[in-house]
Amino acid sequence: MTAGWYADVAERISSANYTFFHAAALRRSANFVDDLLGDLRDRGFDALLVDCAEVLRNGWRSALPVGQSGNLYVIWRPEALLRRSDFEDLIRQARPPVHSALMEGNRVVIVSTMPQMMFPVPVGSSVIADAAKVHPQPVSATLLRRVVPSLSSDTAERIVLRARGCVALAEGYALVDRSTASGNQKSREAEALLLATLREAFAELGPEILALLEHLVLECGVVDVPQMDLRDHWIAALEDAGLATIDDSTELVRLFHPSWRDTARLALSQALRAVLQPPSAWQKIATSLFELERTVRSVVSQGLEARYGEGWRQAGLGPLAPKVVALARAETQSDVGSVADLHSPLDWLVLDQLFALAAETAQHVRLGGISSREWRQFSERVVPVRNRMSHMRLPRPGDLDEVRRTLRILGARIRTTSVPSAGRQPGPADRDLNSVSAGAPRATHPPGAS
Amino acid sequence: MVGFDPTAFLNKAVTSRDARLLRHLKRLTEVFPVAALHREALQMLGSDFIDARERKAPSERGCWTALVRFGEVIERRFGLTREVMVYYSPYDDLQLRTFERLPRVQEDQPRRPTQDLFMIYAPDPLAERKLDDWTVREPFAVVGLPLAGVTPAEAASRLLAALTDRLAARNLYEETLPVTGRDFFGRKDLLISLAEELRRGRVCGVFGLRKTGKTSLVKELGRRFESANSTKRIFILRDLEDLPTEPERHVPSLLADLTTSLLPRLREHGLRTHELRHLPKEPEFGEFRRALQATLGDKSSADVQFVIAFDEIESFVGPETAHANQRPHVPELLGALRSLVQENDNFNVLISGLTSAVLEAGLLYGRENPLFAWAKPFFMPPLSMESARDLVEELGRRMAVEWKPEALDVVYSLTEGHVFLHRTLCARIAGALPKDLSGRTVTEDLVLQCARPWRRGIAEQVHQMMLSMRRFYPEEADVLGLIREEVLSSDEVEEAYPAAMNHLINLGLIAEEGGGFQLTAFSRLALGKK
Repeated sequence: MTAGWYADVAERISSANYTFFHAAALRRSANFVDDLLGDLRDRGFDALLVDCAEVLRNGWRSALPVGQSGNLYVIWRPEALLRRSDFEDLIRQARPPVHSALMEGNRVVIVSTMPQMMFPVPVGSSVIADAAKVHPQPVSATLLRRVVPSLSSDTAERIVLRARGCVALAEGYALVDRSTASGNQKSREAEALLLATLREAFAELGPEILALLEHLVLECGVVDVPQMDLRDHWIAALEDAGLATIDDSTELVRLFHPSWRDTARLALSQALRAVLQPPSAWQKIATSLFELERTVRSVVSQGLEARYGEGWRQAGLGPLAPKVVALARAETQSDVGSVADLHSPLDWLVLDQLFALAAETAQHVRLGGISSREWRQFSERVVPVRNRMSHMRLPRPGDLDEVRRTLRILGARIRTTSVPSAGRQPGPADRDLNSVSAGAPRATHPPGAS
Repeated sequence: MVGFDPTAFLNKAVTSRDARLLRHLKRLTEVFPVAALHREALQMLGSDFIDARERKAPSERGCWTALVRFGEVIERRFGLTREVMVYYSPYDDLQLRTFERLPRVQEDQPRRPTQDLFMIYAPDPLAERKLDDWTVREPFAVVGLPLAGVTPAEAASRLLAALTDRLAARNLYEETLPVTGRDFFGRKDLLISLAEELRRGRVCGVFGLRKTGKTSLVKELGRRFESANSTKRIFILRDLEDLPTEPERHVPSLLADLTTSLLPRLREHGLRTHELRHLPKEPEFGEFRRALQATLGDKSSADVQFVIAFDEIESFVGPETAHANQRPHVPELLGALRSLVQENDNFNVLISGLTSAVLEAGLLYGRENPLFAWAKPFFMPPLSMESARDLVEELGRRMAVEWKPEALDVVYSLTEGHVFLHRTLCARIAGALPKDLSGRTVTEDLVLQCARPWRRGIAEQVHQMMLSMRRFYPEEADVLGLIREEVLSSDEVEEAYPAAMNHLINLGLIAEEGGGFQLTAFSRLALGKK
């Protein structure tokens, strides 16, 4: 007799030959692999487990042999491949054997503890991204009672409600309920189970969504978020992980059940603390910020030169000059007398100072075709990203887009505008860049967009 | 049975009157008396047997097959275009091996029946349960014929319900593999252009984002190319994704594989194989080129057309084509292919993949790109409204799904013919339909109800498709963001990023409209709401 936790998943797989099941921590039973295989076999599948750890040793061809038909290959934990430097090759090489297996009349389901969106995109096609997603259904009290027949229907209803239909919690709570411990002890055990499961669920989501949740939940204190403010793939990953419910009638995404809220905050905080490696976006943001900051310095120095001529270093920096000199003396050039001695004094400005200087300069000269107002808006949007980077905080989803977007706007204006010259620019001075978004959750931006 | 009306099936009903066939059917009913009930039931459904014969193999002693031609009503309802084979087994314990044998049995039939649907009879009370279990393992559906002891009307009603149930359990929109033949829809103009270019001896490239149907197109092109003159045409498709990890092993592996693919085809056509047969296990460029040249130039090949298609070209070319000296073998192989094409009127090459850089970059890994400004790029267009409609209706019929015209319009407005969006939306809708035949009509309301869950259901895949696009077209990805946000005017963007804009149009990510540029359905989904 199988547990039946995954009968709905098995049913879904029966109508599609190639699927991806995001088996997040909240969705996994204690004996997950056995339970899943049992339910698949119960549905009539010849389910064969393909452990990706095994693939690393023997390759895809051994895992998915030619000439077989009628099997359901359960490719388990592809995230095991992620640790390898040749991950891309391993995923690329999976496509021909997976396609052969499918064409020979087999089915394939990829089962991962991570969301589909977290897998890096290889050169060419991805067997992970190509698979259609299986969305698990919440556990019902009837199902829980079938697994644990000794539960009364009231207790089963209560457990399922508290577990929000998640297998891991429903199974765990049922176990706690049947123990002989005191009521208080049972509460503590249930709480500990929730904390541990949520922590694992958060960690599996990866740094991009963790950073989003940090912003929404820990910084802004928001748990009911308009769907409009979240990208669909974030919503999908959170829903599949059992961490969000979606209400299409109110157009809201509810993060966590209200009864989980404090535990969820604690679990999220612990999961964030455990992130020690830089996310993949970090290096890309750093690269783009480097290009952006150097571009702005170049445009501003040309603008100052156009305005002040050769004496731009002394005349152009105004009250910033002493600070620049002090920094240069402290760090590299102790004999610096004034900004005139520095070949590139703008190197010593932080980004918000640089943008402020650009905004001020743009009132007097054409500066890359960008108006003062636009320079200030760039500052509001990019400086927080740079601050997060310089403080080694997790970049938020949308940070990379924000920096790239600014670079492209600058690029477009510079390409289509002549070099800085004296005289106020006639460009689109009143253009409002704040009316746009690069994908970050807008409604929850704190004032000042810091 | 309640609700069963035989008069609904009378239009263009099938009735067999051939004396020889009737004699065969008489013998069938002597061996399987229940076949008489089946025939009556079929006739109530406007259908009939058109063939019956005993199986001769010792392992099938006592078994019979028959072919059923369904009447027009059933054929239209279920999208059937051929007869359906029935297998009669006398054994009261239906065996898996009998079930698994069905695709082979249908190959011996006098007419080629439907390949993905069979009917079976065995006097096994557990037959239905067994068929339920076994059907999930196979790419075909098997419907059990009713056991004896019911009226013909009940048998007809049960057969209809069983057909609906089995066909409705499939979701043919959810196709993830490349499709050809009757499963391939649209792209007629592109197929014609490509065939014409190949005939003229011009190397072509087919490019498009992931999941836009490139591989299907190339396979269908190959199928049509060969079937137009199967004795004089050879089309070899090589998926480059399983190349070894080490780039330096790409060429030996690829050439060895091409040799292995070519030899049986050359033998099949009686062409020269000597030089290719004697190549070393992992040949070098020059060796392979000379060997292939010997075959192409041989007089036996004079009127044979050869095409080699390379799919997923980026797996060979790599993403960083500007890095000098990284993969010198890439321009070398492309150069060798170019010279083979130039020297032989009967040889051509087709390339497909995500990035058109392989044809558009002047330099590849520090060397002149042999295909630059020489090969012709084509980009995957969306499905036209007519092709999209054909796809939805034709596949729908095979699952007993009917579509209201307004529903089809809404689907197209949501997908704009992007094949991945189109298929996944229809799959979501089909999955929401009941199995009951009376409820399998798709309305506009149902499409709208399914739209949001569909969007979320594919959101992670769409996100990955955009990441993949960004990898090969980083400037285009950024420019697309600028267009979405309307930060710059269309003129400004076009003036600053003309090449990127051209790619965005070719890739179907933006469309020119009213003097400006609009995001297409795919881009709107990928980039989210503004």
